[in-house]
Amino acid sequence: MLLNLALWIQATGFFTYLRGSGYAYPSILSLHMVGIAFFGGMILMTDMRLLGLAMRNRPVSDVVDQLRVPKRYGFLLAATMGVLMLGCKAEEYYYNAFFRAKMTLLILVAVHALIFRSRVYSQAASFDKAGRVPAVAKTAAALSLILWIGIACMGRGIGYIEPPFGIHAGLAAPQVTVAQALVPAVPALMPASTTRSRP
Amino acid sequence: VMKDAPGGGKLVACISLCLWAAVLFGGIFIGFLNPTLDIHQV
Repeated sequence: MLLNLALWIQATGFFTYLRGSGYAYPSILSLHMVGIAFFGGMILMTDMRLLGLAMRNRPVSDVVDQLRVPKRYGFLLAATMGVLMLGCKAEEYYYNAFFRAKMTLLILVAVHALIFRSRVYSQAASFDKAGRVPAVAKTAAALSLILWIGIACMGRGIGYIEPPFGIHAGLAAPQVTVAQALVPAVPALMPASTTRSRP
Repeated sequence: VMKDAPGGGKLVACISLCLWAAVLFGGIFIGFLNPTLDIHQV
């Protein structure tokens, strides 16, 4: 059933166009990376502050509260581009073990948020009053870092697993690749397909 | 009380962000253009 859904999604006109465009897919992938860099930077600073490893001269509540909104913008960008990439190659991702691991880790991040958001991330001002960060907050920060680093590593792995042979046989081939568009006068250098997944 | 950076500082920050975003775009597009960069095929 999930496989049928994946096949249907990637066969829609919108995702067929994105997959076939030589510019759109790498642009989406690049924006996914920009979002991850933005979001990951905010996560890193928040967790490092809770662990007492960075920005120690700033109040915890300053760091946690002020990075919250830009963090959400970064997550929104990364998640939106991630969904677009998933739609382009849904069948390939369905078979990809790294993708499944990444989704599992994202579920664990949601569980982490459910457990620690009210206990830690919404209580940053009380840490400043107490003058110390409690162990539960440091545990939450360490777990958050481990989970997000794991997600980043799994994301890198997604692009390096070959899909089962022939699963794209029925898909529309790319019409114009970036390389063909940029170097039209050297057709001998152009491979059959230069589009690859590097999430 | 912390004040916002002056206009020049904001401009420098914007340029820095754009340059780093461009570095990411460049890195990704290198992967997609990789076959044409093989010196042995020229």
